[in-house]
Amino acid sequence: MLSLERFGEQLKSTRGVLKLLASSKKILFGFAVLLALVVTGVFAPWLSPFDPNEQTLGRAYLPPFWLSGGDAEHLLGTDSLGRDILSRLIHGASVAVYVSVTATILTAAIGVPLGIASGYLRGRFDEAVMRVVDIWMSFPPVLLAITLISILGTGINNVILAIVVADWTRFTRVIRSEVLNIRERDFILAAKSIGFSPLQIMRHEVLPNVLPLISIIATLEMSVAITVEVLLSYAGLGVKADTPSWGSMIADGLSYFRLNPWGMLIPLAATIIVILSLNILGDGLRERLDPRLTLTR
Amino acid sequence: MSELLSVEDLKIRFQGQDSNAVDGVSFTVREAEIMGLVGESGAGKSITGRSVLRLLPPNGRIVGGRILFKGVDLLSLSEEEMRKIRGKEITAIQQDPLSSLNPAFRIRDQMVDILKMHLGLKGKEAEEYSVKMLEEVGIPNPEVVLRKFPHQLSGGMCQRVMIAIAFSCNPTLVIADEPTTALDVITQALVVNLMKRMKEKHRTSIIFITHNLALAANICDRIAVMRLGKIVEMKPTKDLFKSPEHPYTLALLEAVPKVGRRASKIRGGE
Repeated sequence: MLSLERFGEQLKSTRGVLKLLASSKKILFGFAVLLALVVTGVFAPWLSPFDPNEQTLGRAYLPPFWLSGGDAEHLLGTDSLGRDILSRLIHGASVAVYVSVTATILTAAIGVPLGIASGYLRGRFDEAVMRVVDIWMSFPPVLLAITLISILGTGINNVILAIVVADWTRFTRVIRSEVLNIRERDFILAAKSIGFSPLQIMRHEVLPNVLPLISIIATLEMSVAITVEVLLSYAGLGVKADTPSWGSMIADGLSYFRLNPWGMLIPLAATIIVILSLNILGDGLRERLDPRLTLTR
Repeated sequence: MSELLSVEDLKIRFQGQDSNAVDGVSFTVREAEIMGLVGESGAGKSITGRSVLRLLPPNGRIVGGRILFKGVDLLSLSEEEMRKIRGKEITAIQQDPLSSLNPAFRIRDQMVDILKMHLGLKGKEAEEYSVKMLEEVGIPNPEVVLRKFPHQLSGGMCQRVMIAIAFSCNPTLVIADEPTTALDVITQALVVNLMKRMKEKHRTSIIFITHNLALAANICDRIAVMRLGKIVEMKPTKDLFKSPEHPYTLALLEAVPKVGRRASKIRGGE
C-alpha cells in the first residue's frame, strides 16, 4: 500500500505533481493531450482563425493545405458549406471540454459522497444504494442517454444531464468498494477511539484516502462523457445544429466524404486521439497507484 | 487507591457462534495502575479491551455484564455520550503503529485535529502543544517529525507518535492493545519504559494487553491471565510469578524460553 500513500502525498504539492508526471510516459503523454484540449477549448474564440459558422459557398470542399488545391488560409480545408474546418474543430474542442468537465464534476459530486457513505455506513443504506446501482447498470448507458435526450430535447446542457443520469453509478460503485477496504484499517479504529463522529471520519479520514482513486475515475469518466457527446451529436441528438461539435462534424463529413474525406477524418482523428489519451492517462495513474502492478516493475 | 474502572461479568458473543467469546470476565482497574491482560491469541483479551470503548467489530455483541467507569455504566450511554468519553477520558493505542496513522496526512494535521476537537486549541497553540507532546515521548526534532507523513517514520517513531496522541488530551484510562508487538525488542523496551513514565507523570491508568508474559511482568502492577474467554488467574505481578496457581499460568510461564536452558517440549492444552 506504500505506493498509494506516496501517490496521495504527491498530489499535494506542485513539485510532487511534476514528479508524478515525469515518472511515467503514459501519464506525461495523456496529461499533455488533456492540457492541450483544455487550453484549446477554453481559448477557442481567440485561437480559431475564422467564425466557425461563416459560410463561403464559393470555397467549399477545400482539402488541407499540404495537398494540392489546398489553401494556406484554411489550414485544414473547408466543408460542404465552405466553413473553416480548423475553426470548427477548435470550437468543437470547447464543447468537448465543457461537456466532459461538467459531467465529470457532477457525477463525482453524486457518486463520491454516495459511495463513501454506503461503503462506510454499510447496513440498510448501503443495501438500498447498491440495489439501485445494480438496476441502473442493467440499462446500457448510451441507450439510456438516447432515451433521455428524446424526452428532454437536444442542447448541450441536456447532453450533460443525460450523461450524469446514465453514468453516476461508476463513481458510486468504485469508491464504495475502496471504502469497504479502508474502513477496516487500523487508523479508522484509531479515529473512532479518540472520539471522531462517523461524519468526521468520512470527511477527514476516508475522503483523503480515496482522492487518488477519484483522479483515476475522473479521467475515465471524461473519456466516456466525450464519447457519449460525440455519439449523440453524430446521431443528431446532441448539441444544437449551430454549435460546432466533433460528432456533428463527423456526420456532416460522411455525407460529402467523396468530395473531401478530410471533413470527416479530421474530427474523427481528434476524437480518437483525445479518448485514447484519456484512457492512457487513467491507465498510467492506475499503474502508479495499484501496488500489485508497481511491485512487479 | 480507588477504582477507576470495574468490569463486571462481561459477556461478548459473535454472531453465528453458539458460545461466548468473552464469558463472564470481571476485573477492576485502579487509579494510576497498569493492569495486564495476558493470554494466547483468541483468548478474548483484545475484544475485552475494545468493549470498554464500545468499539467491537460489527458482528460482536455485548450480551451481558456491566462496565462501570467512574461509577457510570458505559453500556447504558448513548453513542453521542460515548463519543465524548473516547479520546478525552478513555483512549486506545493499537498494535500496528504504521497503519494506525492516516497515511494521507502529515503528523501535524493528525495531532492538531484531535487537540482542536477535545481541547479547543487552534493553529499556533495546537502546534506548540504538539511539539511539547512529541518532546515528552522522546522524539528528537519534533518540528521535523510534525512535517512528515507516517510512512516516512520508523515503526518505533510512529508508536511514540501514537502514544503522544493518546496522552495529549490527558485521558484517565489508556487501553494499549499489544502496543509493542510490531516492534523490535530494543524499541519495545523504549516504548514500555515510555508508557511507565507517562503513567507516573499523568497518573493515567493503563490496560496493557499482550501475549508476552515477560513483558507484562516488566510493566504491569497486576496481571489477569485469560484463556478461552475467561480470566483464570488474577494477581499482583510479583505474586503471580512467585506462586502461580492455575496450571495454564504455569504452562505460560514455562513456555518462555530461557537462555542457557534447552527448550523443553511445550505443554499443550488439554
